[in-house]
Amino acid sequence: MSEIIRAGLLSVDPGQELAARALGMTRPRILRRVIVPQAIRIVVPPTGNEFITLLKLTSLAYVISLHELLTASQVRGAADFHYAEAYSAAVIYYLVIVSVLMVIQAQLERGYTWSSVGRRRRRPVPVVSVAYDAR
Amino acid sequence: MSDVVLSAEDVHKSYDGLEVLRGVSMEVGRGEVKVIIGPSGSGKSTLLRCLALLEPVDSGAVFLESDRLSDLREKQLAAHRSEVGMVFQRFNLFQNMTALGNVMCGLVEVRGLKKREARERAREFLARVGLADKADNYPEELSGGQQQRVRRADVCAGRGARPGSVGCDGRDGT
Repeated sequence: MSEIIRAGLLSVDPGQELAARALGMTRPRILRRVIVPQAIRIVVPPTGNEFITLLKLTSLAYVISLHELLTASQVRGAADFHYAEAYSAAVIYYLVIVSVLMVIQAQLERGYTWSSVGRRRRRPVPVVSVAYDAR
Repeated sequence: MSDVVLSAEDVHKSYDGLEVLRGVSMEVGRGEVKVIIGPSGSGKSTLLRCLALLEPVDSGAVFLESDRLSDLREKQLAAHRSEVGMVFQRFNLFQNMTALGNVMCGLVEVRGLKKREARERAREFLARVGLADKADNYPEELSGGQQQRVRRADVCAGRGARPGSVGCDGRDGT
């Protein structure tokens, strides 16, 4: 995570800082108004990725006997041997949570698109419309 | 001789042993235009950056009117930088702001103007460089020449109230 942020900060063109210094802005202001907003744009996608991966990795928590989603469905399935139904329910839960995270991320990215056309055009594609397009 | 606004006195500057400026002295009077010509890599940009107080000089001095600025510390320098405008070779507009935001930025963050005043002033100067209709566009949507005009509007809007000078690096497409 810290590496993602570091990469984001480093990716900002040094000319931006130079221009801000030439304007007479102080260090903290340069960071707040110029460097950080531009770094955020770079940082959002990998951070969203990280979050989604983290969510999927929660299924590993059963190792420390935490009763997470996958364990819950496994237990439910074992009760009457209807594994398929129980796991399908888990799939739907995972899908919904990941989709919500995805939409949030897309919204965030849109907020950091610096082109007046892009703000209108680059719509996040919801999962539903993918199925809809395929008809 | 008109009164001198910006001057350099015996400025030396070297990077890692490579001597770029060797005792440069120059004066720019009020309302005067000075052009620096030379092959690439000959130190034109370096001289401009020294004059804009963006690079510390190794020896010699930079004066704005009668103030010897090159001896000041970084913190005090920031305040004086706003008095010397700079149009960069690659313009360096802030990518995260619209053209209007770019011009407003210096007025709000450095001059301490109210947002509303700054917006009015920025619009006025954008109109002066003929970009009134591009105020809400982001730098990546503007052509090179338009970006340069935004930068110029920015630099000029920051001046006006107080005297200062403007350094333009690279070809000026006017």
